[in-house]
Amino acid sequence: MRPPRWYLTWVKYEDLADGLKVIAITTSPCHLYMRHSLVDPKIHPFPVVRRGLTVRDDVYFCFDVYDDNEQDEPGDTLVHTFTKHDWPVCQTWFFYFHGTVNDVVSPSTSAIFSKHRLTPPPGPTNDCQTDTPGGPSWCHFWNASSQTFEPDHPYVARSLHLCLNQYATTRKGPYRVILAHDTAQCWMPNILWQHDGYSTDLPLPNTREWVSYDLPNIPCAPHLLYRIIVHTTPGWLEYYGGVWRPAESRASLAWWQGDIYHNYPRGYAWYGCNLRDSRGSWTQRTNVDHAFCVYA
Amino acid sequence: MAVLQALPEQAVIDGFKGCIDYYLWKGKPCVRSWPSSPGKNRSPAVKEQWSAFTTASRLWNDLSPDVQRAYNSMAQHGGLSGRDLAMRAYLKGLFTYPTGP
Repeated sequence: MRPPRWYLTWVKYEDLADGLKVIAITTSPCHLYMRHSLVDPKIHPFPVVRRGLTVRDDVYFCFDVYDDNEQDEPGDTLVHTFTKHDWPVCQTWFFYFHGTVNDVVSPSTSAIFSKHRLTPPPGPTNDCQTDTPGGPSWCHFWNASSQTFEPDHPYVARSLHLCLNQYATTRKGPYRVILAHDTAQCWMPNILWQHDGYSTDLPLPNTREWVSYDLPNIPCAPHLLYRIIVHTTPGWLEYYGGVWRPAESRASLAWWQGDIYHNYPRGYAWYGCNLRDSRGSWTQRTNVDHAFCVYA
Repeated sequence: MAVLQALPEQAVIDGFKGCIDYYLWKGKPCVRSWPSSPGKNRSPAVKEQWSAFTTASRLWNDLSPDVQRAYNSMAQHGGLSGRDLAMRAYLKGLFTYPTGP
């Protein structure tokens, strides 16, 4: 009886949040298994001798330390999907396919493929409020502004975008952006990440342009409260009388807000924490959210 | 078939390739006409493989560039081409150990 055979024509890949989906297409229905390994397969050449003469070199392959994964689809199919979770970024997997046809083991195999999982491009999460019809918050050191958000699914936060502008070109100084969990004292948040910048690096006043910050792959858990805090830090100057002179009380940024028709469903805009004097508390701005977006 | 006193030079052997075959039989140099076509008088087992070989010889053009690249990459260290390996993968697999689930 002729053994059942198949061959593979296409291999495609789809990014998952924590891995990759490998899709193989064959020309005849079969049930495939993906044999994968982290070990680079070894290729060994050896001479083929016919009647004392070396005719050519052949090769054999060593595929070692492997694991088998069965395709997601039941039965014999033309499209074969292998969902691989826990495939870390920048890890290379080697794999080939073998399988059955009508439950009979087929001698056919595929070539060995290698796939390096690249860092996926950042994509917006559901934790965004990108409209800015409202006014700005000032983000003072003694009256910081913040925005809370609560993820509805787990993801790794890789980038934070804020609609944060200079307040006026005649004022400049340092500022800080913080991603944190709340603590009992608002001026001592449980900091997950912080960025110290200078106001002149922000978009010009009233442009409502966005600024992005890279995050160090912060895992965000669903139904947990996160807070983005923006405030100035000491060292502000104001241009007055032809010179830049210290003007701490004039420190201001403009973090633009949405309105009651453009808001985020799982958080609010807040103000009122005094980080300069270590006192105060977060006060909610009713039905308003700052313009922010977390990218994964 | 004829028994020779000695094998000719390699250049002579190569020159008759596909027509006359020089070989050793029990240490004696021999020569014969080879290959000789058996014609259509083939065994059922051989006939059964014809369709598989037909498919194998044509499959290369069906493969996506990525799949062809994988075979070509595997063929870099030997005397076979990527197409040879694709045919072998289809007919008997590329691995000498059992691959069944």
